[in-house]
Amino acid sequence: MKAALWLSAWMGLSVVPSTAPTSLGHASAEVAALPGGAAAPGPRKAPGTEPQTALKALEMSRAAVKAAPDDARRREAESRLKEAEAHFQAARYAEALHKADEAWALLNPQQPSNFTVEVDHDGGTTTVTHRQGPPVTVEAQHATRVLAKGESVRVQQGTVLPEPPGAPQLAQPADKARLTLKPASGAEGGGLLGPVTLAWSAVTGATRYEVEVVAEGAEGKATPAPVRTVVAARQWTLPALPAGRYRWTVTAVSPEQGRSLPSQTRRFELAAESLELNVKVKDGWQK
Amino acid sequence: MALAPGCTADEKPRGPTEAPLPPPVPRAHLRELKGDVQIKRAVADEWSSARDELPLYENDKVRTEAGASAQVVFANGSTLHLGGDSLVGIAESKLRTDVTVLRGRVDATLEKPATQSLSVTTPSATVRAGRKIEFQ
Repeated sequence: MKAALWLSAWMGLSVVPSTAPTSLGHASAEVAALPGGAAAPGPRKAPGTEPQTALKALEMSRAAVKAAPDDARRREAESRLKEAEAHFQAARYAEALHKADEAWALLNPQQPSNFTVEVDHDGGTTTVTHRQGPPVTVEAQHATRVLAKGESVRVQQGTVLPEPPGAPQLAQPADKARLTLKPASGAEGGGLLGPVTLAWSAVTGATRYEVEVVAEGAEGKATPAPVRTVVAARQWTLPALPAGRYRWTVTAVSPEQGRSLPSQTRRFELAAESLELNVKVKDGWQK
Repeated sequence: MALAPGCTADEKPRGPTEAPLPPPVPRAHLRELKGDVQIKRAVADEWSSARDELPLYENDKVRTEAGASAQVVFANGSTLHLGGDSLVGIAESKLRTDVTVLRGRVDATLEKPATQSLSVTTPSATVRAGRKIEFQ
C-alpha cells in the first residue's frame, strides 16, 4: 500500500504565495540541530524538498509528544517518533515523514483545532494565538515555529520570528540528590514524602514555567503518573510523593517568544527516614 | 470552407483543442453575515454587498465594516470567522495557502484537523493548521 502523505502537499515548496514571506528554514542548519547531532552522511535530495518536509513533520510530532499526557498512547507515539528520528538521521526522509505522521496522528484524534490571526491596521504586525487542538506552524522569513495550545507569537513584517526563550538552568535540588524525609502521617498523606522544593533560574521574557516531574519506575512496580504544573515563580514545592527516583525538567514560556527547550534533566531520590528503634537489652539500650 | 453551426461569417470555428473552460469551482462560501459585509470579485473594480451562501472564488476579497462579522467556510469544512474591520482575500488554489488576511482579526476552526487543513497568510507570516493522512 502506498502512502500519500498530505504533509508532502502542504509542506512542499513548489509555490510560495506572493504575499507570504519565504517559508521554511535552511535544511542544513536545522538538520544539524537535530537530536543526535549533525546530518547523516549519504545521498540527499536537493535542499528545500524532502528533508525540510520531514523535519517539519518531526517538529510537529515532537511538540505533540511533549504536550501529551504520559500514557500508552504517548509511549506508542514516542516509539514511532524514535523510528522517525532514526530514519531522518539515515537520510530516509520519506520514511521519517511517514513515521512522524503516525506519531502525530496517534496523539491527535478528532479534536477541533482553533487559532486566531490578528493583523494590525497597517498590516505590519501579525499576532497568532493557538487556542485549542493540535499545534499549528507559523512561518516567517525562512523560519518556522510550532505553537501549542495557549501559545502565541507576534511577527513584525520583514523581521524574523522571535527566538524562543532560553532553557532554564536548574538550581535545586542538586542532580542525583538523595533526600531523606519523614513520611507524612494521616490518612491522606500516609507514607508519602515531602515537601521538596524545586528551583531554577529566571529566563528573560518568560512569564511562566512548566515543570514536569516523572517517576523512574522500578521493574515490576507500577510507575506513578508524572506530576506537572505551570507556575509564574522560579520555584515550586512538590506535593508529597512516594519514595523512589524521579527526574525533572522545566520549560520557560514567553507570551511573545513561545516555549523554550526543556532544561537539562536532573534526578533526585526520595527516601523515607528510617525509624530509630531503641531496644532495651540487659545492660541498657541498643539502637 | 463551411461554417460550423452557430458561427457567423466573422467567427472562426473552434478547433478540436479549444474545449470550453470548466466552470470555476468555489473555494469557499460566505455564511452567517452580520452587519455590513462586502465582496469584491477578482474581475471587478467595485465592492458590492455580500449575501449569505455567496460562493467565493480565487482572488475574491471580503471585507467587514466595524461591528460586522462573517464566516468563510472552505470546501474542506474549515471555517474562518471574520471579525469587524477585517479584509481578507481568497488565495489562488495553486498557492500553498487558502486565504490572505490583510487586516483585522480572524478565528480559524478545523472541526476535524486530522482530515482538514487551513493555511492563513498575512503580510508577515503564514499559519498552517491541520493535517491529513491518505492511503492509496
